[in-house]
Amino acid sequence: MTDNQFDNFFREKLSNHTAPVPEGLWEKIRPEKEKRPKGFFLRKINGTGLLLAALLVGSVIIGLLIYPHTSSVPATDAALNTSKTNATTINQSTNKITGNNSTLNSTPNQPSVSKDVKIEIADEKTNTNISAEKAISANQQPAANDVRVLNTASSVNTKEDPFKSFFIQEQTQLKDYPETELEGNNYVSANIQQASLFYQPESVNSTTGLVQKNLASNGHDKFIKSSIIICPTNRGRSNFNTDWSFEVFASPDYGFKSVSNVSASQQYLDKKDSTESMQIGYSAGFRIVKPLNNNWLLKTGLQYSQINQKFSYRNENEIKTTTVITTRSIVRSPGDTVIVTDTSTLRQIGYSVKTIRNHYRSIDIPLTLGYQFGNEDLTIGINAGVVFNITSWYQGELLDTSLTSVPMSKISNSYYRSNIGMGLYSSISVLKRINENTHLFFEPYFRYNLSNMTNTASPYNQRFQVGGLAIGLRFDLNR
Amino acid sequence: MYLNIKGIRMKKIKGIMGCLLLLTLAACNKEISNNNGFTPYANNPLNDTVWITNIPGDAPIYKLADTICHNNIIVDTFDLAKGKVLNFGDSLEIEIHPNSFFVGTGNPGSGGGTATDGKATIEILRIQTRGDFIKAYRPNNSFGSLLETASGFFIRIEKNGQELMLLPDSTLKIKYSDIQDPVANMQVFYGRETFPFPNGALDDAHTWVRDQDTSWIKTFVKQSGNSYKKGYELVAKRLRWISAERYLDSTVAKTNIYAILPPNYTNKNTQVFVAFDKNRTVLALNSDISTRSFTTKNIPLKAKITLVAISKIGDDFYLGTKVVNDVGTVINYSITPEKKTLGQILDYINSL
Repeated sequence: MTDNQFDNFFREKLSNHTAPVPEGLWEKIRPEKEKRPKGFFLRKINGTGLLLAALLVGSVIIGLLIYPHTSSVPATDAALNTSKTNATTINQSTNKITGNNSTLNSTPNQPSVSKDVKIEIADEKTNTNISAEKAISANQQPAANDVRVLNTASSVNTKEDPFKSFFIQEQTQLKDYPETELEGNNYVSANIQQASLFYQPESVNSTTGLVQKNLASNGHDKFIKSSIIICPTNRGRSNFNTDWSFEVFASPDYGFKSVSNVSASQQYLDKKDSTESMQIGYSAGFRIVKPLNNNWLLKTGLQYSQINQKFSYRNENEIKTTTVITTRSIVRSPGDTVIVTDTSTLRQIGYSVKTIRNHYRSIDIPLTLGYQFGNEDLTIGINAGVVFNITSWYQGELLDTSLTSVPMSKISNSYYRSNIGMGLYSSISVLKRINENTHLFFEPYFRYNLSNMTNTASPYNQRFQVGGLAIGLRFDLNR
Repeated sequence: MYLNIKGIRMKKIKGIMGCLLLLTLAACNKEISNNNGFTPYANNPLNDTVWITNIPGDAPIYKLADTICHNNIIVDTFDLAKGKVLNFGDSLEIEIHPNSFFVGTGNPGSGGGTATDGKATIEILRIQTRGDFIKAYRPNNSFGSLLETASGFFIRIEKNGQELMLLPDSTLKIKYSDIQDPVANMQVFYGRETFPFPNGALDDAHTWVRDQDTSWIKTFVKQSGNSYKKGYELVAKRLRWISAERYLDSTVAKTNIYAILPPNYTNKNTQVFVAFDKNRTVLALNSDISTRSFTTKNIPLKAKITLVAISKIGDDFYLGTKVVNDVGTVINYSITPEKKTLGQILDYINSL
């Protein structure tokens, strides 16, 4: 028996055999860079959902003309998807396929890939022949999500769309996939773009060559010849983005104090204002970031904030007592001198400038919704939300209504509340990727507290608005 | 080798925990408050701790002396040409001879002058107790020698605002009852003063000068009803400060004593006296700039004394006392004055 006979034997026996791919296999063999969300704004908005897609579909078409970027097509094997350009040429070649179903390659000088050509893709256990369309489709969309692309894309194209028949055909051939898998949102835009790119007449000649290049350069082509690839499904799962991130941050803050009079005298308010000056405070905390899709983020966490305030109080007529030890030589009688040491106290009157750093501390839970866009290296986000105060406590001194400095802790129960309620939060974040899973971010923010920190017993109302610059790290987890 | 927990590498967890730890440490604010600064007032008298050699006339001790000085002065009038015996109760009688006065320079030792007549005003201040001598700032010493007193007087006669002097060989007889039984060996002393006379009560130059007539002052005992009045008949040849004194025993061993006060009490604002327990003797301690203390000499050993420090700092009065039961080897005494009212100080002084 020759090698061919042996191969033919197994090929015939296993021609209709299918074997499911273990769940997670595709995720593992996907190149890391393909796992990261890519693209610019117009490609990112794929994930915003059907509503956003509907709103933007018109502009996307125009946008695609403006941004004729190539898309990164996920591939089963790195060799099958070596570059974005290759992915584009695949689509362009597919355009040609629509014109002639039997031939993928319309360019004479390029190797053709016939629909009937058996492309052998096999894993260690199987060796199955599949049609060219499926093979191509498998190469282009090796995962379940990728299959969804085709379905969504076909629904977007018009009847006159020369690719519609292709997509329909593809969908028909792939109809054994659950429909839920074919409606994933995450890749809608990409396929729209891909579909739009089908109109691009350029690089047609290179299409088939690319396909063949991809196939030929497949590092597994010796044993992955042909197979019906059953991609891992999301059956039983939500199509919600399963990624999440963790942020730690610290921020220099500056509090803006606003005081309004209730029952205090103007003299008291003036004195209070003159004794207090705001200083740099800080916040620190962590946040869990849950991407709802490629653009929208939900963040929550825990943060500690400390507003610092310089309290300078001039205390008049203060008596300072100093212990003084004096040594004297006294004459008891002529020729009899005695050294006398005496301990006494020196009293001095003056003023003291009491400088105390007041601390207004709080522990809060932020809950923000953010929208971010950009490329893989630099992302800009806009966040807004609320901050719930868990507890607040204070340390330092302040003036009471008799213009006397009193410890803040003693009257904290009568002047300041232990919970300052809710605040509004807004920020703009700039994220810079510093390694594979870590981003450095800068997030200038402003917090507007909705309620006063003082209670009804206070002769004035006071609240702080806080601005700061959060600097931190975002760790991409569960990717 | 890192442990994988649901895709989260242990290395990542460690990194996160490390960052959290740093943040936690950074959140621990150890600083609560800054150091308080104290700035003494530049011109507040309490902060003036300087001792000076020449005390200016506006120093607090002068004001203090004027404040606590006697103001219970007896005032009467008489005819210079006729003379008069002035009776002030049962305890004081002053016999003024006619035509005994002249208008002089005011210096009691200036000698004679032209006799004058007409109405004159006489002012009499009695100083009997130790406290009286303190309040009058007339310590009982004569050029450093200790005296024991049997009362004293300040007598001033004025006519038309001019102070009169006794003519040579003229006398003024003062018959008075003392607070103690009279003793036989009392002598007449006159007060030596700064001239021109100081306006205030305090006179650094004051000392008692024994009359050239060193005879003892006559004493008397007069029955008045069921009791007896005892006293002296002092014949004065000069006006102003007159007292009945005698020298204390000069054979007793003596020593110097020092009163040491806190730095706030200087020779500008403090006067220290020593009152003898056994004798009616009051001494004023002099300021010793070299030791920043108040001192006096010729204190008999084993004497029981009370040190009294009176201060005026700003508008506040301070009183410090120290009872020494036995002046001995320890000669330096620390006194810590306390803030008192003027009334409290006067009450204490009067009780001496």
